[in-house]
Amino acid sequence: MINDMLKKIFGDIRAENPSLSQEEFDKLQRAVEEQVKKEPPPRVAFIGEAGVGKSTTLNVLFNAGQEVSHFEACTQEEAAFDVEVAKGVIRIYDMPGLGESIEKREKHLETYKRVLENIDVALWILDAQYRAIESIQTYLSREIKAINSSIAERMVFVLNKVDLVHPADWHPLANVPSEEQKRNIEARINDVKKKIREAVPTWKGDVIGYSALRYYNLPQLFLAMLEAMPRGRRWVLTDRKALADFLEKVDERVRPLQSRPQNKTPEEQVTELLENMTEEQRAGLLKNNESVHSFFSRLMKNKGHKKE
Amino acid sequence: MSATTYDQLSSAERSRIEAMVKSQLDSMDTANRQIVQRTRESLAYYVANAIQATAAFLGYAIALPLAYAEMIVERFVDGFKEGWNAAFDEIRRTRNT
Repeated sequence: MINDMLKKIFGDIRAENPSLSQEEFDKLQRAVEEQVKKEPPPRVAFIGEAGVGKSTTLNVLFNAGQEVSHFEACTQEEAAFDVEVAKGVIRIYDMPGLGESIEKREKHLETYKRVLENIDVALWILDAQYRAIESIQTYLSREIKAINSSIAERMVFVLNKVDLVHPADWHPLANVPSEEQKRNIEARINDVKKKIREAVPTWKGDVIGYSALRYYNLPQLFLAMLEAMPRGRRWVLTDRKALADFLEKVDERVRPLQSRPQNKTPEEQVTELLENMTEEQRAGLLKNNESVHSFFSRLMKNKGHKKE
Repeated sequence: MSATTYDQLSSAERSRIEAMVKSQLDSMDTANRQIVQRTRESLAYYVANAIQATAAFLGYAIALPLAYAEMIVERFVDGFKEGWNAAFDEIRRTRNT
């Protein structure tokens, strides 16, 4: 996606500068492309108690696979590490839990100050089942504002495990909440929004309800992350985007007709795949035999199939 | 719900379930379109800034398409607002200590 967009942008700029020689423009384009390649990876802070679903969320947003089976449980200071995901590297900051003790508060404040001023976006993950947001609200109003009120605007508050919200009767075929669940999820979201705004009145963000395990509302979650990021850095996150497929959890019999498996032969499936590739992908694929093997191995891995 | 139960569903119920899935997919499609739009804007903003800086460094004059140039103007305005707010945050913090 990014390469195709870049081509279009350079095309637009070239059209605006007909008097610039091709050599001069190529020089400019190469310099900018070099800069694009060297752009630091996205820096994402994951904030939340152990067991709230941080590593699962990372996996379903970026296909980290077995690289991150669980976050290092670390309550002393943040764990920062580069994670190799399907489409590149992401720098992850696993932030310590909140409200542990008054003694640890000063240390945590230092940690937050150090990390939050240098990240692109912070994902604050809450368990949709639990109502205990009071400690977070207190923390927000006192500590985060003391660092920088604009930091709070870089935070995305998300409720994971919405499939377990009362009465926990998630639709097994459609992979969506029941009507009653939907109402309760909305109520929880509005409650959390209200409490955050009480703590940080300038906060203009949204609260997203999702389920990492059910692959539910992942594009909505990703969009919220993008909107909280600095404008010039959003493309870097999208470059790593590899959302798990919601339809995988939907019974085939209730999927829209065009998304149901159509029993194509392997040859038909490969032909369709090749037709949907960009020129650059096709050129890369045809470079040599090893590229073909790597390409299909990566494709199978992304689709959750075992490598042969 | 087992396969047997699905087969026992009325066609009205099956349609209702299919509509639930379609509604969710529509919501996801809207989000996906906005992701593409934000990404496109972000990359254009990044490239516009980078190409201007690089051209200046190399001594070339470069004109940007109007839409890209407007983004750079917005950056200066946003940057000014951010600086203004940060200055007032600091004043408030100093007063409260």
